[in-house]
Order: sequence, then C-alpha cells, then structure tokens
Amino acid sequence: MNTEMLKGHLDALVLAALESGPVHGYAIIETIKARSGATFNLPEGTVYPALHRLEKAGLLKSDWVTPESGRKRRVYELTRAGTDSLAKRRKDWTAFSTAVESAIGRSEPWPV
Amino acid sequence: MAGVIDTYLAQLGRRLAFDSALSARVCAEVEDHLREAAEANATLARDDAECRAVQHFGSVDDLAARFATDTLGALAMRGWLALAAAALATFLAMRLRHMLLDSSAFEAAPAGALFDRFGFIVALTAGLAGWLTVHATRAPTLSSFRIAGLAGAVSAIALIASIVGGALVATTAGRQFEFPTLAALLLESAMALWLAAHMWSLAHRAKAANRALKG
Repeated sequence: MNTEMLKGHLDALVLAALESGPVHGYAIIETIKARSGATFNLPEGTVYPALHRLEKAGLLKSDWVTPESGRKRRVYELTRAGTDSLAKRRKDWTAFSTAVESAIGRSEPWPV
Repeated sequence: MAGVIDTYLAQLGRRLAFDSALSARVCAEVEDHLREAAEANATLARDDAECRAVQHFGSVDDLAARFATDTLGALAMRGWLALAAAALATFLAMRLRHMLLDSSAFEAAPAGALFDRFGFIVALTAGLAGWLTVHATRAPTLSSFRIAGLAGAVSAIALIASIVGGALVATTAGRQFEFPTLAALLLESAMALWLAAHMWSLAHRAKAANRALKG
C-alpha cells in the first residue's frame, strides 16, 4: 500500500496497537504489520517520531525497563486521554470509511 | 570493528545532536529495536541480519528529518510564549509610564516616545504574523519555519527597541529613579535581557535542527 495513504493514519494505528497493554516500539510495529495482514509495511523507524509526538500530546506515557536481554527498553502505554482519543478516531474512521465505501464501492457508474 | 547497527546509531546520534537529550533517548530506543530485529533473523550471519534490520528500519536522513520537524515546531511555540510574556510585561510597563508621566515627558524625548509606542506595535504585528505562518497550516514547511524565525527576530528586536524607548522617555523626564518608574524599567530591562538570551538559545537549536532537516 502507498506510504502516502498511510501517513495521516499512523497515529491511530499506533494508539490501537497499544490498546491491549504496554509494549515497546518493535512490538508496536510488529502488531501493526500482523493486524494489517502485512498490508502496512512502512519503514519501522517511522513509529518513533509518532510515539514521541503522541507522548508530548499526553496520549501516551512511557518508561524505561530492563528485560532479560539486559538492554534498556522504552515501553509505552495509553493514558486516559489516549484511550478517549482512540475511541474518537475509531468513530470518525467508521463514519468516513462508510461514506467512502458508499460513494466508490459501487460497481456501476454514478447516476447522472 | 563497528557493526552495521553501531555505525547506524553513530550517524543517527550525530544527526540528532541538535537536542542531546532526544538524541540519547532515541538512540537507546533504536538500538533496542535494531538488535531485536537482527536477533529475529537468527538464521542469517550477524552482518547480514544487521543489514536487513537497518534496511527495514529506514534511513537516518528520514528519521532525523522527522524529529527535526517536530523539534522546530516545539521551538517555535517556546519562542512565541517568550515573546508573549515579554510583550505583556512591556505593555504593563508602558501603561504605568503613561499613568505616571505627563505628556511633556514624551514630548521632551520624541525619539524615545516613537520607539516606545511603535516598537511595541511592530513587535505585536511581527509576532502574530510569525505565529500564523507556522500554526495556520497542519504541516508547516521548512520555508514556514524560516519566515516565522525571521518574524520572531523582528518582533524581539522591536520589543527591545520599545523598551529602550521607554527608558529614554523616563530618563529624559528625570523620573527614572522614582520607585514605580524604576521598577518598570528594571522589569523591562530584565525581560529584554532574558528575551535576547532565550531567543539566541532557540535560534541556535533551530539552526542545528534545520541542518538535520536538510540532511
């Protein structure tokens, strides 16, 4: 899928990937790939500016943890504001996609 | 010998040097990501696994540019807040001066009165124009930040000129050592020094972020 089409939706995808609990950047990108059936194959690094931006906006919070590998890892989780924002984005997306499907989903031409 | 991931991280660290705290944090996060991605390709030789991880991650240029854009936005906001605080302090001092000094004081120092009033108006206008340049659009371009930076500089210089004009009026009237006038002058002077130092620091960081954005 064209990366340009994905640009406006990356924040929503990141918030959705964090819905089931705190995870780190690599797990977020793997979740997005898995849930989208590998349709969204964006450069993995693009998730980090999005994570930092969402955290600055108060939709996420993060902290360093040290798992068994011994490497420092930054783990992110949704805040209350992040959960509310995700719910709103879902609602907006449903309305948008329903309208677009209704407009371009038909196989026959639009009536004049 | 440095591996592929080590080389990538060194380049990224240099490109994000405009914000040392950001650079340290991002490099630590990216290192964890790349090492985990390389370990997921355990069947490949170490160098090949690292190459693949870095390839899928994306270029240093792209990543640094994205962070630089966000940083420029944050720096612009801090600049406007600093200007707004200085403008408010200057306005209050101007009002106090007009209450304490009669019109003859302003007539005795026409240049000072001119800078005092019109410097403030120019500062407000330039500040507002610069703010709108960045915030009127959802995705400001590098050109927008440059224009906003220039407007911010004009605004800061005009505000400082307004402050100097006010000081000239008060000094010419011989009232500069009376408590309310002195307090206003000291506040304005402290604000001018703080504003100049703050804008210099922001401009320095914006220049570094701009270099990261251009690659």
